[in-house]
This record gives sequence, C-alpha cells and structure tokens, in this order.
Amino acid sequence: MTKSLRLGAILLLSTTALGVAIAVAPVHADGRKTAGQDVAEAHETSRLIFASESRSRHHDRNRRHHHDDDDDDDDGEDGRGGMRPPRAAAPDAPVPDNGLFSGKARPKVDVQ
Amino acid sequence: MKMLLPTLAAATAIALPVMAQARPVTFEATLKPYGGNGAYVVLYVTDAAGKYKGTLWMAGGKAKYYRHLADWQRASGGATTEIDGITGASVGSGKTLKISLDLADALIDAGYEIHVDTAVEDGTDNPSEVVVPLSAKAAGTAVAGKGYVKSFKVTF
Repeated sequence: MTKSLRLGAILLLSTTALGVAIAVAPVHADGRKTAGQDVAEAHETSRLIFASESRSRHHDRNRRHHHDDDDDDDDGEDGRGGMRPPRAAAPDAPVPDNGLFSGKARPKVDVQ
Repeated sequence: MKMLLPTLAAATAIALPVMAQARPVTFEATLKPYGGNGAYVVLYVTDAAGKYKGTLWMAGGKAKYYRHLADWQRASGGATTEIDGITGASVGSGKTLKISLDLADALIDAGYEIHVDTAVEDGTDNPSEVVVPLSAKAAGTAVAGKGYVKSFKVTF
C-alpha cells in the first residue's frame, strides 16, 4: 500500500512539474516557437553551420582561387564600391565609344 | 527629279569615306579541351606604346571574376563601361569563339596589337596569353596561346 502511494505521489509530482513547465513556456497558437525550442534549434543550427564550415574549409583546400569569390555577393564591385555590373549583351545594346567599332555595329559572335 | 542626282551624289560622297574607314575583321579563338568550366575570354587592343585602346569582346558575364583577367583589368581599369554591349557568355572547353566586326581601318598596320586574356574557375589565369599584331602580315596565321587557347586567328 505504501509502495502504491509512493508511486502515485511520484506520478502526480511528475505530471505537475510537466504542467508547470508547459505553463511557463507555452506554445503560442500562432505557431511561434517556445524559448526552449529556440534554444534547441539554435544549438542545432550552430552544429549545422559548424559542420558546413568544416566541410567548406576542407573543400576549399582542394579548390582554386575562383571559389574565394563565392563569398562575394557584390557582383560588379571592385572593392571600392564604385562599379556596377555590366549590362547583358543584347542585340540592341550600343557598343562602347572606344574608337574600335568603326561601324558602331555590335560584333557578331558565335560559339561553336 | 532634278534634285535626285545631286542628292544621290552627296549621299554617296558622305557614305563612301565612312565605309572606307571600316574593315570587316574576324577573330577566332579555339580553346583546348581542358574539360573544366567555361572560360572567361577577353579580347582587347593596345597601341604601339602598349597603351590600352579598348575592348572588343568579353566572354563571361560575372563581373566579380574579371579581376582574374589580370592584364585586361590592369589596362582597362576594370571599368564595366568598357564592356557594356560587348559582353557574352563564357566559352566552353574545346569550343571556338568567333567574333566578326567592322574594325576601324586606322588600326590596321599601325602598331596596334590584339591581346587575349583567359581565366577558368578551378583553373589558371592567363593574362595576355595571346598577343598578335593587327597587321596584314599576321592576318590569317593561327597562333597558339600559353594557356587555354589552342589557336587564335585574325582574318580580314
């Protein structure tokens, strides 16, 4: 009988503790995560980032210079911040006025 | 009707010198079958003193890679205004890039040179891997590059 009472008390305490924990960090109805979940996910993300960086570093050792550029989001910048990306070549794009293109016509380009 | 002939004569007089100043020129660069990513290839012109005159074509669309075309970058300053309207896709391994244009006649046999810089991702940079004079004597002769260019030829 004492044993049953003790078990019942433990079960009751556990349930109460669980209820308190849920009450302290409620899951919002709009889908936002709890603080506990955020912490757990942050740890998971850190692990993923670390693993990714680790793989990246390992991979980088076997790669050539151009992959250094993968970190560049700044297409068209020269480090001084003044350049813009070149326009895509289009049939109607004007050629530069550099004195080379006598007819001002765009070059005809073919890759075979 | 009376005005037709003088008008035609005037138009011809204006048009002829313009036409005479341009010469159709073809540049052909055949790449080696190196088996990697598409090559960035730039063709540009320098004068007799080695001073940059202008770019003829940029094969390769991402400006962030242009610094690997080191001689072109140094000579041109890397300004993208230099290649607006004359930029296309990079050239695949083993492919031939053929560029036809009307080149200013004054550039022929006047000491000007064509430079070709190439660069490939995961590969090497080859500044001025081909340098050929813009001369009647050199025209039609294929030359090999030091890097990815198997042969380069100018014809006019």
